[in-house]
Amino acid sequence: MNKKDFIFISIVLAAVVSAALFLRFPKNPDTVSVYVDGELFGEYSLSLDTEISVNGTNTVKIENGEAYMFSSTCPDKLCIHQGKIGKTGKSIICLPNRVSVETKNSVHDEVSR
Amino acid sequence: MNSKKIARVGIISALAVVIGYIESFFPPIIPVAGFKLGLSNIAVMYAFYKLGKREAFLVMLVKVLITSLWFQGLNALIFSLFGGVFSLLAMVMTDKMELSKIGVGMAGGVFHNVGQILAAAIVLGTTSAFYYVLVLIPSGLLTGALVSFTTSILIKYTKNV
Repeated sequence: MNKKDFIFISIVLAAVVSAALFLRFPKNPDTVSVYVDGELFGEYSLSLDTEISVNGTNTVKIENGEAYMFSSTCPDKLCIHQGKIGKTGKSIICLPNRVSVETKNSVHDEVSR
Repeated sequence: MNSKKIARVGIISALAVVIGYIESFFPPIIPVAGFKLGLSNIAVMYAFYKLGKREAFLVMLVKVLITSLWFQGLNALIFSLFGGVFSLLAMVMTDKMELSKIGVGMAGGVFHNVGQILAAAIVLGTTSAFYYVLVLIPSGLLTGALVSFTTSILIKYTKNV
C-alpha cells in the first residue's frame, strides 16, 4: 500500500459522506409508492394496513406504519429479506421482477425519476 | 495474440467462471441486494498483472458472458457487464496513477459497485438505487482490498501461468 492508495481512499470516503449529506432523506414518510418497470403502479398510505398484489408477481404488505415485501416469485427472495421500510429504510427493490417500493411524504417529496 | 497467450487467457477465464460458480453457494455476508465478495476478480486481476490489460478485459468478458447467460438471466448480464467494465476502467486508470495492487483492487471493487448501481438505476428507471452507495462503496473498498491482497499473494508465490 502506498500514499496514493490512501489519497484514493480518502477521496472515495469524502465522496460517500457528501453524497449522504446531499441526498435528501424523506422526512416523515407517510406514503409508499410502488413502481413496476419504472412506471408508477400505485401509492398507498402507510397508516392503512393493507395487502397489495403487485403485477401478479410480488405482494407488498403494509402493517403498523411499515411496508415490506411479503412474497415474490423471484428466485433469490432478496427483496423479502430487505426488511421493513417506513420511518426506517427508504426502499425495497426486487430486481428480477423490476419492482421497487419507496417511501415518500405526500406533501414534501417528489421522488425523482 | 499468439496461441500461447490465447491458451493462458482461456485457462484463467475458466478459473474465473468456476470461482464465481463456487462463490454463488456462499451465503451473503451483508443482506443488501447483490452483495458478493467478487472472488472471480482474483482471476481478472491476476491476468491484469501477469498478462496485460487487454487480456484481463477478455477474462472479465468471458466470465460475465458465461456466468450471466449460462447460469443466470438476461437481467444479470446488464449488471455484470456494467460492473465489470466500470471496474476494469477504474483499475486501468488507478494503475496508471501508480497506485499499489491493493489500491487498484479497491478502485476495482468500488467502481464495480458504482457500475451496478448505475445499471440498477437505468433498469428500474428510478434514482432510489443511489441510496445503496452508502453501503456498497465502502464494502467495495473492503472486498476490493481482499481480492487484491489475495491476488498479490498469488502473483508472488506462483511461477508463470
